[in-house]
Amino acid sequence: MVKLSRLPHLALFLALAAAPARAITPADILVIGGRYDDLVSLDPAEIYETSGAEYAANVYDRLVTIVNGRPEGALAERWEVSPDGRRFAFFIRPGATFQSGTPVSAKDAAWSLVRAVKLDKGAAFLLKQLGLTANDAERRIQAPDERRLILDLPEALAEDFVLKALASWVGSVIDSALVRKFEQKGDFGNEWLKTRSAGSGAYKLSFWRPGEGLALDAFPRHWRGMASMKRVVFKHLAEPSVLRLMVAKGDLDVARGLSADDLAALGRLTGVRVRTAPQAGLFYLAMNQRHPALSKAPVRQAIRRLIDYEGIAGRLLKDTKIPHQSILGEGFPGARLERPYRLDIEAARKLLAEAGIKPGQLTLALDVRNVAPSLDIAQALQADFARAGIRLDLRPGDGKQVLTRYRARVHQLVLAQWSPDFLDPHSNAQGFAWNPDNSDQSPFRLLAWRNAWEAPDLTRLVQRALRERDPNRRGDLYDELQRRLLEDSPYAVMFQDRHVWAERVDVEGFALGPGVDQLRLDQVSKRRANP
Amino acid sequence: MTRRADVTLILGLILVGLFLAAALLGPLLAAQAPLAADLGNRLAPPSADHWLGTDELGRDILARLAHGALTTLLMVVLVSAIAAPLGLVIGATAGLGGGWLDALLMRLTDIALALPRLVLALALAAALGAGLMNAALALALTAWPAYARLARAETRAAAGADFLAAARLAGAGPVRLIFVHILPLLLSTALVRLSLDLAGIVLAAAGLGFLGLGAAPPAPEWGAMIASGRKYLLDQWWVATFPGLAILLAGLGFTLLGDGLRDRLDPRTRRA
Amino acid sequence: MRRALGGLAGLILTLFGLLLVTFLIGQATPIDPTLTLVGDRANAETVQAARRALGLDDPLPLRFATYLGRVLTGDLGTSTLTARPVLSDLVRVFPATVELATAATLIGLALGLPLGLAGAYWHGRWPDHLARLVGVLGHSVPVFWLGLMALLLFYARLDWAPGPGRIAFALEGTVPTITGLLLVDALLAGNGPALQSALAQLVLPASVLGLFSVAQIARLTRAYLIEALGQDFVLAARARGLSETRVLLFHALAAVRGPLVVALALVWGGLLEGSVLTETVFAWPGLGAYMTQALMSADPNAILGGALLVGLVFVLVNAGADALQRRLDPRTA
Repeated sequence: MVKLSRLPHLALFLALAAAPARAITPADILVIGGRYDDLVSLDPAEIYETSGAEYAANVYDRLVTIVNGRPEGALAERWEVSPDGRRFAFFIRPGATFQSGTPVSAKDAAWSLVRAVKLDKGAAFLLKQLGLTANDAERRIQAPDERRLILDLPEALAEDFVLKALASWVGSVIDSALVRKFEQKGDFGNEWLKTRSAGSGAYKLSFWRPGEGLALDAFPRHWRGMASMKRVVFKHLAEPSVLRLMVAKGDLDVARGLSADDLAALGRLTGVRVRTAPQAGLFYLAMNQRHPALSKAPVRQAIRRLIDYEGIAGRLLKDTKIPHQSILGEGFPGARLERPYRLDIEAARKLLAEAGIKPGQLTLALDVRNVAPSLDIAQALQADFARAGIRLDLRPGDGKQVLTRYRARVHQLVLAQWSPDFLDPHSNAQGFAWNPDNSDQSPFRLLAWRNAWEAPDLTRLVQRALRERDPNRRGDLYDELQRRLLEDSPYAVMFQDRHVWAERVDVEGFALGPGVDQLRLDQVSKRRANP
Repeated sequence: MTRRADVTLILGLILVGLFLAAALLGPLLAAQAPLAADLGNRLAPPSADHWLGTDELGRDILARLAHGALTTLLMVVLVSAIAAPLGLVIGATAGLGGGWLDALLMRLTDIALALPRLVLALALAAALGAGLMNAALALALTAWPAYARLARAETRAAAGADFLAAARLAGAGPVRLIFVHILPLLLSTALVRLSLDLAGIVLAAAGLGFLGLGAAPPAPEWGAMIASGRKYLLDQWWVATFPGLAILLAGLGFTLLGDGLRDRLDPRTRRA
Repeated sequence: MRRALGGLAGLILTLFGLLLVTFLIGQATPIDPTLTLVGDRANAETVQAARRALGLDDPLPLRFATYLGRVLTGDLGTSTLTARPVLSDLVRVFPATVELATAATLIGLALGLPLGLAGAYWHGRWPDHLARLVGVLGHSVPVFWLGLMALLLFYARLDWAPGPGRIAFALEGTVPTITGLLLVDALLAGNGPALQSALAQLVLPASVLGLFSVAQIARLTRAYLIEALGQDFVLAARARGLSETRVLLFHALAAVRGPLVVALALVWGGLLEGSVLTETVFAWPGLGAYMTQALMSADPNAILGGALLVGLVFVLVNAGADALQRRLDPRTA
């Protein structure tokens, strides 16, 4: 008799040996897993989230595009700026066609920009900040012929700023002949385009299932040539451990949104490579100036010293976020990388005493999203604040609940995330430091307003920088702005996001950058020995 | 038959006793604070210092489980304390009142019984916002109808009894009748029914916690512990496994206790 | 006839109650529903306009009447999560849940019935204890945890089952949607690889969810059979010298098939509800995952629409089971 106790092990061994070889993804299909449940519309004039911006970047072309921080021609092969800085002329590339077969003309580009301004959906402000309004957009954006688009601005703005705004996803050029067929009640075909694609980009929409994911098929006649991946599947998978498992087993080619711990584990595998790249998003703690204690400068200074920037980053975040304290993240031209603040309980205690606050006297409520790592960071803050005698009550909520409270200015402290809409310093400067009207009725509800922070000087500084046409002097203004916000503001910027992803080793050319839409799927290929 | 019922009952009592001990004494005895984060010692495997390991913030899992038992106990007590009396009063009122009152209340009960409990509790908890009290309220508001039915049936059966007639003659009003004379009668059946429900409440509470609708962090809650532990399932199995086992054991204890009690106390199943 | 009419009136009342409950729950939501519509950086006027467009400023009874009217015409509002009508979302996701719940019920039947039979046949002996043990365990184990453990063991460690999802990702979108039931659609399309992949993906989540139905079905089968075995016709059959197996399978089981079918329908209805927690774990793109996502992103229309659908099916299954019971069981006629 064989030893019976061995049998289970034997069975297990056989089962493992007999387990079917994992079905890896086909050589010409790219499967990407990550968070893809936030898409609500595929219309580039309406898109307002990262996955949407990435979709638009691959399905639509723009007049210009940003490569390594510099504007470069896309559908427009070149452009000219008039000496007074108010007139931009774009010359459309011949030979580009829409996925429907219609050639791309300047009329399509003009129609698309006017459409975005007039539709006035969430992201329209990207164009409206150029001074365009629904009333005069048609007059200011004109296509005198098939090849030429003329943009007349009401006032001169920094050239870089104008081009970057046009290079964002709202600047996508849409197949006007196709979309206008489905126009109803003056919606510019929005209802139709919400769930469909009508672009000239390297990919076209295959299918989209909200909350589950989407797939794109390569457009064979793209002006840059056909992409190597015939099909790209974006699969919504929220669970980091599932993502990790599936990329490790080859069910996914690319896994995004992995947790810090999973990345470390994946780094030890041979079939998978872990990569990171800077991302422009910032993670910050905001302090409502309506709160009597938080409106005192020493308290704000103390709070900045009660954050264990390095400890939290090192232990909880690893590569997913890195310590960063200025309002311009790495990747922005002119970003300040210095980090003057670090955890210093003693200094914080002194500052609190200076503000007349005794240990145990101050209790603050912290609104925080109920997801990792926000909640983990909040709990770490809770522990350190307690060491200086401040009690921190956590108020976890889902993203929208937290945002609803933040926008209503009823928070005390909030842990929030900022993502610039496009890679121009104005995006962040306006977000953090521009508050022309601090009243409850204010139509402008950016971060300074939400924290009830009156900052007339800085608001003027932001305006001046926007209109400064000399790139060097403009850079100096943003440097001053960053410095002043670092000295004192209702924010403690804590971390900058990093893109982190794991990819199978045969994937090449998958790259992410500081902008929200720098993923270029037509540059991705797979190196397979035997297809 | 009786022997098996006793075995079930004893097993159930042991498990429930353990659960109660963990909930009531655990927080006092646990050497580690359940909220004390120690980032340098996160995700440590079970050891002599931390018998069940530590979680993603370096907190002792055993201590959190003990405190989580208290959270669960609180939840169970809250839900029972709202749902059972509510249902009993409604049922007794219907049974005693008769006529249109009976028809109205029982129609309401039937409607409530026909609705999906978990999904409505989930929707309600989502609407009210996360929190222990809200979660308990959501579960209680979907749990009362069973008690109403039971109370009505028992009240109808007792309605003709002499002692009620006597009480009425003595001038007892309907409120007095219900609270003083009828509710005590319902107690044993209601307790059996409740004990059968408890496991369900533990599981539903854990489910809400898992979805982020239970007690607010950092308060330790078993379902939420599994939810945050699932991120570490692949390398740090202990983070999600132990809270799951805790739920399983608590659920098992209540199920066995309920079964055992029913077999012992409920005359309808006592035959054979 | 009168009974049928009464049943119908009761059904309508119950549905009205369901609508009232979902409406009231919807009113309690503290989230600004305009947020997702106009985005985070819109100005105050845009927000006001969105509020008016949604009718958020009307009085409560008027809003309920509007809600009733809308629901009766199939308008469940727009999901803020998907920006599509909730009804079309539900139509898209519900078949996946039906598929999962049905598979789980079948697994429950395949395992629970023999277990219950054995428990009744060897009443008081070890098969009976086993049946009871399974019943008690199924009653006490948290399904989301069991799902995680199953994934960890059978996918991550042993590689016996495919990972989460309803079909291999690369095959996604290759089966045209006809019924929405992927297995059926793959069969109709004659798509072998898709059918194989979909079947393989179904096994693990259906088994985990099925454990609950195994427990329930085994427990009910055992209880019904023990009761039937004590009745006169069984004694008569035994007296005629029929073997105990024959008595059990042909006489007793036949006698309890009515209540069993009813129980099965209720189990199925319960599993629809139970799938909420299972689907998230297995990334199964059904109603449960939809509702959980809606929950995470505070999408009241989607949550309430989902609750309404589950409620509707639940109520209908309940009513159907009642009607069935009346027809099959002479005692209640």
